[in-house]
Amino acid sequence: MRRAILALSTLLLVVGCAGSAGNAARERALLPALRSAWPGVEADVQRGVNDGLDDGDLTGSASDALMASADRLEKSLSATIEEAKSVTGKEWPALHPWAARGVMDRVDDGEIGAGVAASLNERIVQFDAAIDALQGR
Amino acid sequence: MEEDLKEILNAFLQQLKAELEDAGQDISVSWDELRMYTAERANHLSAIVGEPGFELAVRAERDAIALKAGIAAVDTADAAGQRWLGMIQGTLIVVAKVLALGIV
Repeated sequence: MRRAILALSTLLLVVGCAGSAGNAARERALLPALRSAWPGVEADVQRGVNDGLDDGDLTGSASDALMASADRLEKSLSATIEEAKSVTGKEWPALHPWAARGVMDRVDDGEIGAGVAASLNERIVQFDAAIDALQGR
Repeated sequence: MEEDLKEILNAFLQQLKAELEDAGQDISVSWDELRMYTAERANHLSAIVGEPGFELAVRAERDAIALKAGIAAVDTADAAGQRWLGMIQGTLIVVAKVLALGIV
C-alpha cells in the first residue's frame, strides 16, 4: 500500500513537472515568438479586412469587430500565459482567413510576387500552428 | 543580398547546432527538424531574391523560423521536461539578433 502511494505520488510529481515545463516553454519560447511575428500577421489581417470592406464582403461594423478582435489578441500576447491561451484560442480562428486574404490582395495588386506570398503564407501557417501549441493541441 | 542571407543563416545554424548538441541526444529529432526547416526556408528565399516585396519575405521567414523553434521548444518540453528551455530561449535571442542583422 505504501509502495502504491509512493508510486502514485512520484507519478503525479513527474506529470506535474512535465506540465509545468510545457507551460514554461509556452511562456519563455512560444509567446515571444508569437509577439515577434504578430505585427506582420496583423498587417496581413488589416489588409484582408480592408479588402473585404472594399469588395462589400464585410460591413463597417463587422470590420470594426474584427480589428477589435485583433487588438484583444495583441494585448493577450503580453498578458499571462493563461490569458494568452484563452484569448488567442477564441480570437485567432476568426482572424486567420483575413490574414490569408490580405496576402492574396497584395498579389492581386502587384505589390508582391508569388514567392514572397509563399513566405507570408508560411508565417501565417506557423502562427496558426503556434496558437495550437499554445493551447496544448 | 543573397550572400548576406546565406552567411546569416549559416551563422544561425552553427550557433543553434552548438547549443542543441550541448543539450544532449534527446533533442536530436527536434534539431533535425528545425535544421531541415531552416534550410528549406533559406532555399526558398534564395530562389526569390529580387522579387517585388523581397524584404517582406525575409521578415516573414525570420518570424516563421522563430515560431517553429518556439513550437519545437513546447513539444520537447511537454515530452521531456525543462532541460533545455534556457537554451531555446537563448537560441531565440540568437535568431532575433542574427537574422535581423543587416537585412531587416
